[in-house]
Amino acid sequence: MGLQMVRYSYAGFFQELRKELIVEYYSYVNIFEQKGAAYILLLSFLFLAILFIRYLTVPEKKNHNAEKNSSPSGKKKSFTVV
Amino acid sequence: MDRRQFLRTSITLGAAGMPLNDVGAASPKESKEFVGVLVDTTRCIGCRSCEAACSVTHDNFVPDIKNDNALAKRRDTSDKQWTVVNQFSTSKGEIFVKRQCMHCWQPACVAACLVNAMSKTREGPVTWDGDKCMGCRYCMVSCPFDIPKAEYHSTNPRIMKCSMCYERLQDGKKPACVESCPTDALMFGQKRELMEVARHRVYSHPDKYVHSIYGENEVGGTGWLYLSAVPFDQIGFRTDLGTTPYPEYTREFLISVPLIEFGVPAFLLALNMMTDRRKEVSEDLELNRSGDDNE
Amino acid sequence: MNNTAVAKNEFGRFIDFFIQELKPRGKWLTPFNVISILTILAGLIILYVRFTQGLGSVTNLSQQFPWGFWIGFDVITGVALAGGAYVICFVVVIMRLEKYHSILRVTVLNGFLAYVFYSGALLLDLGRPWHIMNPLIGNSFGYNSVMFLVAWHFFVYTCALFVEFSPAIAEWAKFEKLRKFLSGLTLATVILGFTISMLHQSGLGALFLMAKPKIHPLWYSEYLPLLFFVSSIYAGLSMIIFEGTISHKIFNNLIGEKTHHSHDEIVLGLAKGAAVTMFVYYFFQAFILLHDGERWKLINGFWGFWYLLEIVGFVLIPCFLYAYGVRNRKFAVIKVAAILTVLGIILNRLNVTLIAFNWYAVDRYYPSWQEIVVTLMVVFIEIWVFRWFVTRMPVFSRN
Repeated sequence: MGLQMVRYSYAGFFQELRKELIVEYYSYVNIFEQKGAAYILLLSFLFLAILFIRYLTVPEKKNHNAEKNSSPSGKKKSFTVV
Repeated sequence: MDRRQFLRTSITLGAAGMPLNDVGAASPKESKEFVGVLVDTTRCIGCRSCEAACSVTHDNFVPDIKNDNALAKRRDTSDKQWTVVNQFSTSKGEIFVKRQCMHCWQPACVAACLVNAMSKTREGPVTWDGDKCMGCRYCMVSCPFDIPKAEYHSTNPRIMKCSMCYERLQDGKKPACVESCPTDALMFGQKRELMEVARHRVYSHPDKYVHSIYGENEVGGTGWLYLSAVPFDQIGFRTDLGTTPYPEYTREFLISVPLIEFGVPAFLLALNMMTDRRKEVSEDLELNRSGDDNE
Repeated sequence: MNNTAVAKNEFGRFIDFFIQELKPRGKWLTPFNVISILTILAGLIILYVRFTQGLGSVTNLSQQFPWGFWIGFDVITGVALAGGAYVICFVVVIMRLEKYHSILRVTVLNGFLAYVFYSGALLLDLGRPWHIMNPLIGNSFGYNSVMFLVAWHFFVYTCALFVEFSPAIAEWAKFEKLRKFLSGLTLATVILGFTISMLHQSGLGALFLMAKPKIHPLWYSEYLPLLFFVSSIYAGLSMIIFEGTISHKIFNNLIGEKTHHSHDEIVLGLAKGAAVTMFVYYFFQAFILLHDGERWKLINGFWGFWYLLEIVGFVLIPCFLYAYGVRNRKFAVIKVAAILTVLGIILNRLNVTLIAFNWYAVDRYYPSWQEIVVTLMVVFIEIWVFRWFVTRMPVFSRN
């Protein structure tokens, strides 16, 4: 019906200046922006999860009395406990 | 007679003749389509006869519609009244809007009710059955229109909401509010026909109406339809409810139930048998080792 | 002939024994006893008013807030915190990690009592509680209702927890053959219990799926069931740590030396499990926040802050505290983490059910003092029953 509505915005991975057509009930959405964030999140999660679990599972340090009562674990070496 | 008059007459005759369909209600009648009500807010004068008629019919609180000046405040249906009329001051003047249960096509409350106290009848109205209701109020949580109301001060509380006068429909009558309306703002009939009437009105008077019918697609379609002179959010309607029928939101979860109930026990059993095997292996190793260590 | 005589004899012996056991032991006038008895009496009076004058007379429930503190806290939060039972049963019975065996019975007992009492609290909240049998006896099943699923699973799971605990009861009543039989049912019951728990923990979240227009978008997502399930895992583990510290102080005389020592290792293990689960949960929340471009913009203003407080302050921070405490064997840090986690679960459940629910409402809901007193009454009665079980039955130390 005459004038087309447009707007200018920075979009895309390289932040290009874009001219977007505004249509009444549909707006252009750059799905790569959203998916990109999700992928980065997933990768960082996997990476950090590995680090986190390594942090949690510390190799057994020399413990005090607790070791005496617990059943022998399947380690290759066996201590003779005094 | 011109075309417009012909259409109008035939539709009115058809609408008038519709209750006759239900005369033979003794035998299980194949009512293939749901019924509903078209509310034309441009015709409503705010007399509130519908409020009074509804309450009289169902033994609820009958408001003093002449003197109580209730239109001054925004009201919601309550545990005492199944329907209310509200007044809105808009750019097109004073608009009066009757609100009540929308009798959705796929009601959230029916999907929510664990005892089928809320049920969508074959004819269309959504009704509440007090013999089954536990009073858990999950229907109240689920209804997007916030319609069911609980009687919090009763020892045998009911859920109060419009029933589209289901018993009257069985007797071939129209809902009490529709009967009592003096200006034909309310029109009862099958939804398909109501949609045609509504569209006809909008196309015939494009300046008088907003070009949408509230209830056509909202929440998957409702039994009560509304026409308005102004955008619907200006007269108290929520326009952010979406067009997905609300039971759809729980479908994915409910579908996964049989999957989990069969898959998880099998998986757990397998895990258990695997750990059994591991234990046997490690015990064997230790037996052998302790034999060597002689300890 | 002989068998029935034996059975009769045994039954009679058990009745006498049971009546004997009902008699109270210990001092009456401890601070806890006095406070709890007074609260229970007050609660009973409030309940009398509730049943003779309707829910509205003692609660702040309204047409906009049909579910209040009793549902939001007693039922929904309570069940989440009782998640320890199915996790520990999985670990001990299915994965056969014997290290955790000593806490199995007490956790199952706690779970059983939690479900019994929180289903009881549910009864208090129903408008027509005498119709509670309707969804169970089959005169009209609402198959398409999530609530139907939750109700049935609550019922079945409570029975399963009872069966899992029953060997302890049989041991106490000296029914040896019965105990053997019941012990044999354990694996099947645990498998059933885990499946049921998955479904009703996530089901509690699924209850709110249809309330989409009413819950603030930062808390509403289609993943609500999954979030509720995952958080119930670390909620249960944290609750075991928390309750364990209290029980070990109060019931010190009932717990053997060996159990005390191995308890430290158990706490470390539980804390490790909780930390990992919370880590995963946190990233889940982050994913939900980011995967739909609109949601990220909601992190501003009060609700954004409130959401970040819940996720960062009460999930991420206790997660790191757990990790630090596990790595450095600092048990005080772990206890703090447990408390923060439990508070975080309470916050999350109350957010979804009460605070972010109808967040735009003008008249906000807050619990009435009567609702709080009745909640305390339920918790105190539960503690009394727990105490009775634990001081008489072989729950802590094994024979």
